[in-house]
Amino acid sequence: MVSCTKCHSPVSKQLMNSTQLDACPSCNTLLRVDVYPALYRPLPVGLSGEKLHMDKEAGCFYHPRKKAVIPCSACGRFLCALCDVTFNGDHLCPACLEKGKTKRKIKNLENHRTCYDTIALLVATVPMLMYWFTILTAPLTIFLTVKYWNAPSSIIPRTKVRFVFAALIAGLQIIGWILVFSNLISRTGS
Amino acid sequence: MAQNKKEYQKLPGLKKGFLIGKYTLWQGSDHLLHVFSRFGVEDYKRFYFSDIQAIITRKTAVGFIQNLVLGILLGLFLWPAIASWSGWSVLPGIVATVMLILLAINLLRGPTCESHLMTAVQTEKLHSLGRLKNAIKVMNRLGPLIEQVQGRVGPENLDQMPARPDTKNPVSIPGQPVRPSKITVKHEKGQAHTILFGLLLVEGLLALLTFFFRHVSLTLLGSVVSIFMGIFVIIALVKQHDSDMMHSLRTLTWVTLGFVGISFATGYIFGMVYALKQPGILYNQWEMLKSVSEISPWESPFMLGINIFMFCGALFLGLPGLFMLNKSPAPAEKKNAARANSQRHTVTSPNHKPG
Repeated sequence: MVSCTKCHSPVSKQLMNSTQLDACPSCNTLLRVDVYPALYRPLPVGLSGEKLHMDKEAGCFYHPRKKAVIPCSACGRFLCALCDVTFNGDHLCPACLEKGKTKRKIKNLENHRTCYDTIALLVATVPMLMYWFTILTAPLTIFLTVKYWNAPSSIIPRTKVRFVFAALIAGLQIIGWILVFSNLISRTGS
Repeated sequence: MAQNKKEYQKLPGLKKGFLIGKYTLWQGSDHLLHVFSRFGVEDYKRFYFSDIQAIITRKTAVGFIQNLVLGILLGLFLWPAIASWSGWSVLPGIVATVMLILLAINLLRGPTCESHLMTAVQTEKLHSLGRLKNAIKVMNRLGPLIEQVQGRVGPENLDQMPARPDTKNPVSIPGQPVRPSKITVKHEKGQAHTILFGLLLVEGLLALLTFFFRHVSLTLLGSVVSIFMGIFVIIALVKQHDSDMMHSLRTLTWVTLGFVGISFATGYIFGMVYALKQPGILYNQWEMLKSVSEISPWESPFMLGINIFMFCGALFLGLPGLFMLNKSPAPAEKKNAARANSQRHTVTSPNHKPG
């Protein structure tokens, strides 16, 4: 059931797929509702594993008393209907699915990433508000840039420009501090 | 060439907030990627084209309210800048220019909206689609891609939907379980609202008194009441969210927020201009308060305008607010009404309006 996102009353069929803004009959809010056939598709029914009737039949790796229906596409273990997870056309066992997520073997399962290039840029720029912090953060930025240069960044397309800028800014900060200290030393010496 | 093709293409729309993060939407080969990034950390949500049931975009009044507030602030800052073009008016002039730029940007970005994407298991808000023209562009772009995977909705499917919205008997789609509304409504007694509307009446009374008496205690009390009004309007707004409070009462609270905001802005501008005009008392708050309290509304047209605005606003918001609170059904009546609706699984309100 599609409902108005303001008043939560069901949306009438006249409002659907009209490709323009129409007023909700209940609350008069202007709505555009695009619906697709998935709305009318019944929900897939979960399958439970079939019990083994003969000893010669192959059993599921995870449920030995259940009949194996398919091998895992990644590890080859026999799986019952319950353990078979279809993902991107492959049949995977729950362990491989979990491993694919944690070890980033299946990209489409990743739902979180740390972008060290952004962190390096933030570490390089934000402490400039209180410039004396940069004496510590500039080397840290260089460390982050070197260590994580080849680490996987964001899933969405991006270049290494953040790392380059971070290293450039940190380099300038280090040069600046060297100049300050050399000036101080020369003054003290004279 | 195929290798050079990017895996994801950026879709129009962006929501960015200071210390909040950034929401963007990307189009993949078979799915939509919703990205939430903040401080170098990114969270992803994927919506496969084969699973998308509906995309709903609703026009909101947020953009109009933003324009209205910016317009009022522009006027409030422009007036002292133009009224006396001398050294001290540079600051209001700069602020007015900033307001003008913000207003122009907001006008160019167009009306605001809220977009939701619906699948069989969730209804997700697409934060990046906060502007109507972006939302329409994205919907027009995604439509053919989703239809390529799922096909088109036939008229026979649409006929399964009710001809008129029936809020009492939600129609179920064959093969799909009826999903009750998940919005749980809490009961709100309205104590914060009572205090807020009471404070509004006190503020109105103080504004009226300043026409006849001038004393520093009145000005001081007025400032304290204003601060508490600001605190209680926020408490009231938080308390009324997802509550069973009357819609008219919730709207009145939002209007009160606007009134408090305008009165704060006006007071700030007045204080700023007054302090700049009399630099001798700029750093002595007590002297400044005494000096301001000596200004009679009959002598200063600006003060007269503020006082009339405060009196009228407080009266027209405070009295109806207290009246509505008094008229709202008692908890026992609400319990009975909820019992009458006990056929539902949870206490739901089909006409619920988040406030």
